Amino acid sequence: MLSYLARRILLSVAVVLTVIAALFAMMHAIPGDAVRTALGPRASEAMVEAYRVKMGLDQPVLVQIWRFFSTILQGDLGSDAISGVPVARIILAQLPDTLYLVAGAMVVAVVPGIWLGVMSATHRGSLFDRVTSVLSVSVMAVPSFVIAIYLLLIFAIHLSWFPAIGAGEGFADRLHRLVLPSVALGLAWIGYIARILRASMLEVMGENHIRTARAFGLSERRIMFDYVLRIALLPTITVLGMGIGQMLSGAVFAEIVFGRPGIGKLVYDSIAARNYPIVVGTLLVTTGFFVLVNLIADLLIAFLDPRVRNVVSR
Amino acid sequence: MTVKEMTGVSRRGFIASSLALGAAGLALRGHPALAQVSTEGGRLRARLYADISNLDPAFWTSGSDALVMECIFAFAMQFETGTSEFNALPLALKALNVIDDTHIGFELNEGILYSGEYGEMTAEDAKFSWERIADPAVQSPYAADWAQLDHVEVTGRYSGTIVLKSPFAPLFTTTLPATSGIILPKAAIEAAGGQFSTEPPVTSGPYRIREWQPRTRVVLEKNPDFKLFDVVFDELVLIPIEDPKTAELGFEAGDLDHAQTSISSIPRFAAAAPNGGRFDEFTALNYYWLGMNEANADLTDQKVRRAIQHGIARDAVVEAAYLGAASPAAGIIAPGLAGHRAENTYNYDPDLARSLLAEAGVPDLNVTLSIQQTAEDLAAAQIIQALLADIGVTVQIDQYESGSFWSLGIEADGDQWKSLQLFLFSFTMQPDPSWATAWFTSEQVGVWNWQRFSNEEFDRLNQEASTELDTEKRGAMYIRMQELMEESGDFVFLTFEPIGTLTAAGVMPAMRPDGWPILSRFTKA
Repeated sequence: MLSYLARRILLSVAVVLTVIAALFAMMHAIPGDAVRTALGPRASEAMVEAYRVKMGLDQPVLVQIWRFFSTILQGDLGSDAISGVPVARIILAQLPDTLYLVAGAMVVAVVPGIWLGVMSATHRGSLFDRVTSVLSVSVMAVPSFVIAIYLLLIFAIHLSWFPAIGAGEGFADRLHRLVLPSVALGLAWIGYIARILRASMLEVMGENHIRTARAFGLSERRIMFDYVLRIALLPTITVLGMGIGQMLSGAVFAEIVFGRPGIGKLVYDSIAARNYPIVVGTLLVTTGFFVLVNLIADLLIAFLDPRVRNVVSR
Repeated sequence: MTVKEMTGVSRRGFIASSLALGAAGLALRGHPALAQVSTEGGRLRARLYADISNLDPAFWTSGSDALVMECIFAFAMQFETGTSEFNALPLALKALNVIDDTHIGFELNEGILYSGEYGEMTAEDAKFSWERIADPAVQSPYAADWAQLDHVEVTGRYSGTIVLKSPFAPLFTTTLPATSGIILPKAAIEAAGGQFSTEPPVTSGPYRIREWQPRTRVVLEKNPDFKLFDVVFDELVLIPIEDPKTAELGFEAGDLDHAQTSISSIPRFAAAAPNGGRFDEFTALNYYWLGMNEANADLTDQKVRRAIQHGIARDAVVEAAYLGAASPAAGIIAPGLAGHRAENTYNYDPDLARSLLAEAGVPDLNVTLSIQQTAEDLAAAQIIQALLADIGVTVQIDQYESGSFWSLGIEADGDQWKSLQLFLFSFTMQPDPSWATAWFTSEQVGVWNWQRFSNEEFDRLNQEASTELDTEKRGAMYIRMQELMEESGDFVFLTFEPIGTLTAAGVMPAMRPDGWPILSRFTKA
């Protein structure tokens, strides 16, 4: 288990480094000048050049990448090209809002998703199963930004049940403002999780050890929760690990539509402004987070499934 | 050995603990800075177009910066609100006295207090602040605002004389009434290391910063020491919302008291403002035009460019792009400013356009039209495409995201300027005509003059107009400059962009003629 953990961590670090190096190079390949954006149209050529040197943007991309990684190893993500504020401070100020949005979306997706998946599997072929199946595909097919706009129009403007924009102040207000963006971001995943779990449960329910459990006279409830669901949840955990990454990237639309702060909007605006230090810093953090979540998901699977653990141990 | 034996944690225990920790984390979230604010005395919530990025008068970068600076610093002069003409009135300045064309006496109001230990605003501070922006060593992008400044003479604790190298008309229209006229104490700037960004070492305006949550909100609280005018709202909550549609939804849901709307929503809100609020419409200073790169091989012949001019019905383009909320413009200087041009020197004439193309020997011309990814640009481009097809010009529309678009004509960014042909452009400006014409001089070719328009008479007039103090003569110069631009065939002037604003019931907005809000002067209706 420990060697498995060590190998996964090393692989994760390699993934983060590769992704950042590739993104760093891609950022410099797209047209647009960070210095002119920072200084505005009234800056003279001399000022533009002096600023370029100050930011190290006059150096070849490889040198810039080397400098970037060198400073990261010293725990420094650099400074915002425009305001001069440390990038780490900017990201740390935005990260909690995005993480809570993703967490909210996960709650929206997982709780009903698992319930619907279990109910559909245990009532296979019933009207409930068919309706759930149709609805699952339907919500998966509707783009999240469309859901977001309708949620705003119905629940914020017409019914006035929820605020439309902003992250809020204080716990209750924050939670209140988290509801609509979380639903918009998580709704499509309800159907996804329900479908995967249903298929996975039906597969497990047909296996020999389940028939054996029934032959031993165990209750259906116990069979479902202790034998079927335990194994059937494993693919769902893998999907959720990937899903968190997709939600992180999908958070940008929710942050724009709902006027919320967050790293999605931060990186979107920073790309438009060619604010390289923030783009690269933010991508480093989000890539690291995504890799970490998937590492945890893999470990969790190994933890929950003795077969995986045994294979790893061997 | 099992995991439970290794860790002492069972699967069920692990899951239960995780859920409990997650819930606790959510409950404990809440930084002290986000504590509920008092609404006593009034709180105004307004949209900020973007987050603040630099509040130093010598280095600010965006309109949002300027909006906040107008709240936290006592400007030397400030534009009157609720009028149709720009009229700058003294604020920190008590009086201005034009001694002669190059000597302007000034007197400050007494008792303007800085925050912290920096005491009272004095003429020495004015000298330091204005000379600082002009100083080449500081490398301020706004040095041109004080381009003609020789020095400032201090004649008393509150009085002095601005000594210019030559007359400078924008001094009274955009330098002193805007950010370059802000007066700050030398000690505070030196203590901040010579410059600052988002954390001003000192303030002097009607409000001071109570909280800045990056990209979330800026909360300003009333400055009790400010006495230059009555401030009504105790607190301003400024929320950065880039997307105007989001701001509209926020206003309709009651989350905002004031917001600029999207252009496409102007007709809807003009018909009925939501929630019993008010809708106001303004003509911005922003000018919008179609440019043609005369250095491109397909467009070097002036007849071709003039044919394109004659082939575009500007009213149809403006109608499509701004949904009836804007009128065609005859130039780049907005109504209400010296040099505003009421009429063009040519009309939409597709027959003439076709004959010009035939004369030029290019009956089948293919060109690209570069635009940004906005609904207005796309609508305008599609109408231009249809109109030019009628005269035998095939237009391919190329859309760019803003960062890429803004480098298309800049020589320093590569060779793409050579293939640039037609483009839709919009520039913002301050209320002085010099701001409109500054970008089209020969010096700006390859920088912001993407048309590569170069005309000696234009360059000379641009120089002379900035030193001409007679408004009438100055206006005539700017009108002539716009004629030269049009005659070159490089420009199709389209419009001045419309601005729509929503204000909640119970709030009386204070707006400049161009729709710029002076938030510190908002009152209760």
